[in-house]
This record gives sequence, structure tokens and C-alpha cells, in this order.
Amino acid sequence: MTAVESALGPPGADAGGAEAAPPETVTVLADLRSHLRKSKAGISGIVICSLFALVAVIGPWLPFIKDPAAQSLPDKLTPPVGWGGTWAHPLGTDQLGRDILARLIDGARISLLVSVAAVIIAAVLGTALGLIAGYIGGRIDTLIISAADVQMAFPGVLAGLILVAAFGPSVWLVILVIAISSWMVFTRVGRGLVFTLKTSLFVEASELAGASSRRVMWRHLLPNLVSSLITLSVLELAAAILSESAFAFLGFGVQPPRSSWGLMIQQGRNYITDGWWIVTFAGLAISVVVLGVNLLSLWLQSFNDVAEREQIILERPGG
Amino acid sequence: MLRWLARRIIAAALVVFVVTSLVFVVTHIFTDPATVSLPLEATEEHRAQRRAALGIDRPLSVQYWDFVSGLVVGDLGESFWQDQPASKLVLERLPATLKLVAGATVVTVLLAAPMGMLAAWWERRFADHAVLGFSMASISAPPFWIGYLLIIIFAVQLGWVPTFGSRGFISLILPSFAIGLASAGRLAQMTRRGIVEELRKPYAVTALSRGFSRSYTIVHHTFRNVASGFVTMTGWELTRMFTGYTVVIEVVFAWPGVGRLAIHAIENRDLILVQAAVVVLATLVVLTNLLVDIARRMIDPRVELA
Amino acid sequence: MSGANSNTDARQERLLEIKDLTVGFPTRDGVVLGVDGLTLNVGSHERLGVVGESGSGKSVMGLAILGMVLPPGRIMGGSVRWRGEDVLDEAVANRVRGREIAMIFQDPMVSLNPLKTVGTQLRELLRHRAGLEGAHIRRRSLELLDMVGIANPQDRLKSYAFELSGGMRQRVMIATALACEPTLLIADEPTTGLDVTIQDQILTLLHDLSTELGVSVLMITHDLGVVAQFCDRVQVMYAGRIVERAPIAEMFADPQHPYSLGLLHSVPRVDRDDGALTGIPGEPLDRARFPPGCAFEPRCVEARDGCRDAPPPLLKIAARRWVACYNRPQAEEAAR
Repeated sequence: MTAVESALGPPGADAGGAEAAPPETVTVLADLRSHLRKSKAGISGIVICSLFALVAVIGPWLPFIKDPAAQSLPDKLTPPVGWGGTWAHPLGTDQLGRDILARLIDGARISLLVSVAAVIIAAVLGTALGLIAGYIGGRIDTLIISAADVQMAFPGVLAGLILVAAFGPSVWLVILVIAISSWMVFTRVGRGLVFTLKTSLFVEASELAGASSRRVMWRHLLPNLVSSLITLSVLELAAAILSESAFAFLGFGVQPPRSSWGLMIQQGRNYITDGWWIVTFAGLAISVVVLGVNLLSLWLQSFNDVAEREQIILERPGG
Repeated sequence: MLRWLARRIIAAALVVFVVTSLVFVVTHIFTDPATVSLPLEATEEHRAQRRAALGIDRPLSVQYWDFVSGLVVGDLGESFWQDQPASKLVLERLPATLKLVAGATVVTVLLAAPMGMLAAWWERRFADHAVLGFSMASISAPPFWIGYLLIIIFAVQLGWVPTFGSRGFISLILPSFAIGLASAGRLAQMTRRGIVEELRKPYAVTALSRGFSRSYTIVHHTFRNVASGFVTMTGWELTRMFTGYTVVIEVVFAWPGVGRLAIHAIENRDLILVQAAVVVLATLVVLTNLLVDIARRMIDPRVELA
Repeated sequence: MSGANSNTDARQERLLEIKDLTVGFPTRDGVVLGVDGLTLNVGSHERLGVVGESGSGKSVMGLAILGMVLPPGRIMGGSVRWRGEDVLDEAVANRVRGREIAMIFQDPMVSLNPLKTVGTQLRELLRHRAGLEGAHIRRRSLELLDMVGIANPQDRLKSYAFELSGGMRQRVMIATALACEPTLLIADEPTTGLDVTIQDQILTLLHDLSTELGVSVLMITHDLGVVAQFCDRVQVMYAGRIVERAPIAEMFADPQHPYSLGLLHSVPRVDRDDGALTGIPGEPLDRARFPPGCAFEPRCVEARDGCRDAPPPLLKIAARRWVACYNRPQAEEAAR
């Protein structure tokens, strides 16, 4: 705290200061945990997400998992257990006799890696632009926000089509395209939040104390944006996983023999009559992980909402 | 209103111009249609020949001027895969895509509005949780996968509808649902939240305190206020459809629309045709946004004259 | 209780009787009571004030009288009777709301429907709640707007709320409240947020209308000035409970509860020079952390050990005077 800030007294002494005071991480985490215990959606979301993340990381070293690339034509299109298959291939095999379960686990790596990377790029880039636009304002703000508006009118898939047509399919291109279609969300939210924070006491105080713009943005504005940005990132992650699967399905991302969930659906679609399990399980994997992320995001949003709502109730019962 | 409209149309045209210029930068500066159209092992001589044939050997400024003046009169270049004007090819496919989007929108609205109202009426009761469950499931599943599931169930197993292609009204049903389910899931939650929030607003509390029943208050007081959000969200869903869902769903159902044309064009290294498809789809997005703004203004007189 | 009003006007009839009303809001830290065992009566031709700071539960009370609680809150106990009928019964509430008891709210900008014209809002009330038809509706609409002092009522019928000034909006609000000729008007902070001169006009209008039309008014406010200008009787509310009840003159001349005293001392008086203004010490209400005893105890200058055990009951100390405080010996005597 600078001298001026401490001269203003502890946060909470003034209503304006209390609202915008830097978050107290410890109590927020404790609140988060107690709120989680009461939320089935939050628990399921966390369990699903950690499970998939774990499988994606340690998948190849799991002892009972077969080689995802090993072909065995005599075993081709073996149905899963329960539909006439054996435990040798619990989820059956594809048209080349490869184990579906092994390919799903292998696919998780690509699908999740691409989506997470894209969201991180979008979040970092988007937030930085949002902070700059909101804090500095003026012509830079107009420029950045116009760019975000144009981006809104030119969604990612269209950019993806043109870029793939121009440069050919690649994983990097898919990451880039997903990041391109998501950055402006962070920019808009970040900018909006900065606008409201900018006029709050603690920011004005540190400006009076002579803090540089960069210090104000980095030390004072950013920490106050974190919880909103995390919630937003989770929401965008769900969209990113779906986009990745769509691009892979269209053949824009990883190329065979590497595997990705979307690609499995593309390759399995010619066998939906005599091998429905290929498409079904690959799609199920995407749906379950996206559901997990969506549940997590629902819970994070409800946590923010509840905190807000209770504030209102406690201050003015019934308004 | 007229001045607002004029300004709004000019802004939309400007966005189309910026977007198409960006497309031009990618297709003519980072690479060029001739290079893309030829295999990597093509000789330099061969490339130069193709460049000259496509007029890409001229200075960029001339090419850009051609591109822009072409846009104005609806000339989007020649497809060298099909040997026909690209705009003609795209416009031929446009009705199929519009039909698909229209079908999906009907599904979306017919599912979302009643589900949202049901969930709001029985807030925190079984119906509310059921609708939330549907929404979570529908927005989590990739639409192209929903498409295949629908095919497996209704076409392969039950044989109720044709599997692929565009044969009249009946073949529109499955792809419309494949696209519409996710949109309906999002829109139903938005409608529910809208009604629930409006009911807590002071003006709704006033109406209830005057003795109007809950159903009367929902229908006569909150609907117009929710409608503005509903229209906006439906517009967003439309843009999602134009730019994402239709492309994959057209591939799944072998639907002869613009999206599938673009994918075929990519497979055939026809950059000009891809560019034409993208420009048309982007224009549709901008047009949708414009129409949404006008609709909102008509519903809600408070919408700023911005 | 009947003795409380025995020396009031003979024509006065008991209209509204609230007994032990309790409204709770579930939160992460358990249920917070917005209104806690509230007992209150309103007679006919009476102007009763309920004073309290924000968070004292007075707005919750206003809606609860109509059987309404904003979710997730709910009425947890007690009764609200209107002319002997139970308003918490939905069928009775539906009949009474708007017709016999009407409410006006703090912020008319957001309390009027933003997307409907004044005329439309009046019309639907007159048609559905007052049962008027055809040309009567328009005639009555104009009459109502005229009654609340709106010039050119014909033109104003076509206006939206956002096209009107703050004072005009509140006048429209009053007109809609009076549309069905109610017997009781609940006014929840009707002048907050308005310019001082406009505040005065609105209060005068309400006063005149209540006299002319014989409407009782329950004035909910944080502003003692409003009470002094408007009410016959006042109840002071703190933390969801009534802490003092008195006729207006006696309240200002001789407040009994330490909280009432604090309230009066924090209002500047021109008619009397009794030294410096003092505030009420301590933090304002924190609804989640009530002490088990008297809710005002942590801020009370007269607090002693006995105050921390149980909330003090509201006891009669003189004719028409009640107070809830352990440090008023006459209170205990009077009760015996």
C-alpha cells in the first residue's frame, strides 16, 4: 500500500472503497470451497474435467491401454462389450481394427491441448487489449473496440475456411483460428470492468501517489479482473473444444494417423450402419468433456451471482 | 429513425468492406490463388503461366481495385475448378443454405420459447431442472455428432426419413434439428432468465402489487421486455448458424449449400471460390445483425440512437 | 391492545392488523430475518409512519402486507389481516391487491413499465382490476391524472415513463395506485430521489388526497422530516422489529427508545437549538450477525448485561405509547 492508500483508511471504511477493494484471496477461496460442497453441478464439473485432464496427460502410460495406431484387419469393426464384443476391445474397433478406447485417449491429448492453448492465447491477448483500451481510452480504445466489432461480424469458422484454403490444414492454424474467434470476448469484458474500476478510490489513490499506468494496470486493475476472466475462460473453453472438434471433423486440424475426436467422427461416418460405435463414442467423449466444462462454468457463474445476490439481500432486504 | 437507419446501414457496409479487404489480404498478399491451385511440385514456369491467366501478375493495387469494384457489382471472380463465375456458383447454392437456416430457426424458436416459459413459471421446480438438463446436454454435444445420432436413430434404425441429400421438406427435418437443438438450449435458458429477472424488477412488482396475476404479468408486462433480448439472441444464433453450424451440418447431411461448396472448393484448391463463399456468408452475418438492430428498435423505443 | 386506540376518533375502524409477521431470506450463513415478529395496526383515516434505516426490513414489510415476498425470501410466520380476512391466503390477496390496498414505490422510473404508455398502464388497470369498460376508461384515466395534478392529461396518456420528469412519474404512479379507489395506500419511500421542492409537492398531494378520499396511508421512510410533515402516528423499526410506537407529537417531544433518540439527534432542527448534531455510534446493520439479545445493543449507549440475552418485548408505557427497551423501568411497571 502506498502512503495515500493507507491514509484513506482500511477498505470497508467507505462504501465506494469497499466495493472495489482488491479481492481477499483467502476468504474467496474458502467461500468457493463451501459453495462447491453444496453444488452438485460444481462437483460433477470438477470431477469430469480433472478425469479428462488426467487421462490426457498420463494416457499413453496407462498399462492396459493398447497402441492407438496398431491396426489389425481381422479384428476390424468389432462391436463394443455388450453388443457382441469382448474385453479385448471394450469400446470395439474401427474400420482398420484399431482399438477405439486407445484412440479416444490419444485423441483427448490433441483435442484438449489445442483448445486449452487457444483459450490461453485468446485470454492473454484479449485481456491485454481490453486493459489498454479501457485504461488508456481515446483513439486507441476506438481502434481496439472497432476491431472487436468487426471480429464479431467475421466469426472464426469463416476465418478458418479462408486460412485453411490459403495455407492448408494444420494444428497450429486451428489454434490460431480458435484464438482469433475468442479474443474479443475477453477484450470487451476486460474493457467494461476497467471502466467501472477506473473511477474507484483505490485506483485514483495510486494514480495520485504517482504510480505509472503500467503499474496501475498490472497491480491494481488486473487482480480485480481475475475472477471474471477465469469464469469467462471456462466458458470459452467449452466453445473452443467444440470448435476444435468441428475443425478436426472437417479435416482442417491434425491429419491421420494422429487421432482427434473430431477426426474419428469424420472417419467413422462411412460406417454408421455397421459400426455405429465409432461415431457414437467419439461424440460422447466430446459431449461429456464439454458438459463437464459447462457445469464448471455454470457453477462459477452461480457462485458470482450468489455472492452478488446475497450482498444485495444483506444490505437491503427486498430492496 | 431514418437517420439512424441510414447510419446503421453505412456502418454495416463499412464492416463488409473491412472484412472483405482482410480476406483479400490473406488470399492475395500472404499467398495467391495460383500458388494454392497448383501442386507443390509444379514448375515455376507453370506457376507464372497460371498467374498470368488469373491476372495475378498485375500490381496488387490494380488487383485490389478490381476486387473492390467487382464486389460492388457482385463479381467475385472466376472459379477455376468449375470454370464458372464464383458468384453464380455461390448464389446457386444460397437458397439451400437459407432453407436450412430457416428450418433451424423455426426449430429453435418453437423449442426455446415454450421451454423457457415453462422453466420460468416453475422456477426451481422439476420443469426448470428438466429444461436446464436439456440445455446443458444440447449445448455440450457437437452439432455434427447430433446430426449423425439423428441419422443413426431416425434414418438407419427407424427408417422414417431419408438419410442424406435434399429431397423436399422431409429431408429438412433432421438437419434443422441437428442445428436447432443447441440454439434452442441456449435460447431457452436466456428466455427463462429473462422472464425470472423481469418478474423481480420493480415495474413487475408494481404490476403484481396492483393485483395482476402472475400469468397476466408475465404475458402482458415482461414479454415485451424479454422479447428485445430474445430477438437479439435469436440473431446471434442465426449468425452462428450461417458461419458454423451450416458448414458442418451440410457436410453431414450432404446438403447442397454454400458451406459444403466451400469445403469442396478447399478440397479442389479453388481459393477464389472459397473467398466468394466466405464473402457471401460474412455479408449474411452483417445483414442479420442489421435486421436484429432494426427489430430491437421497433420493440423497444429506448434503444439508443447510436 | 384495544386500549391503545380507545381515545382516538370514534369513526376510526381497524383496517389492517399485522401480528408476529416474520419474513426470512435464506443465505449461505443461514436464514436472515428481514422482518422479525412484527406487530402493527392501521386504522381508517389514519396516516401511519414507519421509520427505519435501510436494511431495517421496512420495504420487505410493505410487500409482505400484500402477501408478496421477493424470492428467495418467504413468509415464515405470523398473520396479516385486512378487515378480518387473511391476506396471506392467495385468493384474498388477489382480491385485495390494488383494489383495497395499493402500493406506491420508491423509484417511479423503474416502477412504471418502461415499454407501455401511461394511458396503456392506466387502461389495463381500469379494465382488469376496476372493471370499467369503453369510454368510461378514458374518462376515468383523465380524471385520475387530473386528480394527481398533471396538466394536459390527454397528451400525457401517450407518454412513456422515460419521457416524464421524476415528479411527474411519481404522480402517475399515485394515479395508478388510486385507480381502483383503495382504502389503504402503502407508500414506500415515495419521495426518495426527488428534488426537495418536488418532494414537498408529492407529500402535500398525498396528504390532500388521503383527506379528500378518506384513504389511510402507511408511509414507509427513512426520513423523519417526512414523518413529521405527514403522519399522525409513527413506528420506529430497527432490524425487522418495531422498537417504539407513538403519536407524532410525543415522538418528537419525548422519544423513549435509545435508537429513536439517536435518530432524532441526527436530524437538524430549526425550531430548537439543542446543541450539536450527533450521529448514532457504531456500524450500521449487519443483517447476518445479529446478537441474540436486543439488536441495537452493540450500538446502544445505555447497553448493559441484561440486554444481551433476549430481544426486549414491545411494552406499553403510557396511553398510545409503546417501547421495546429493558432500560425503561416504567415499561416493566406498565406491563404488570
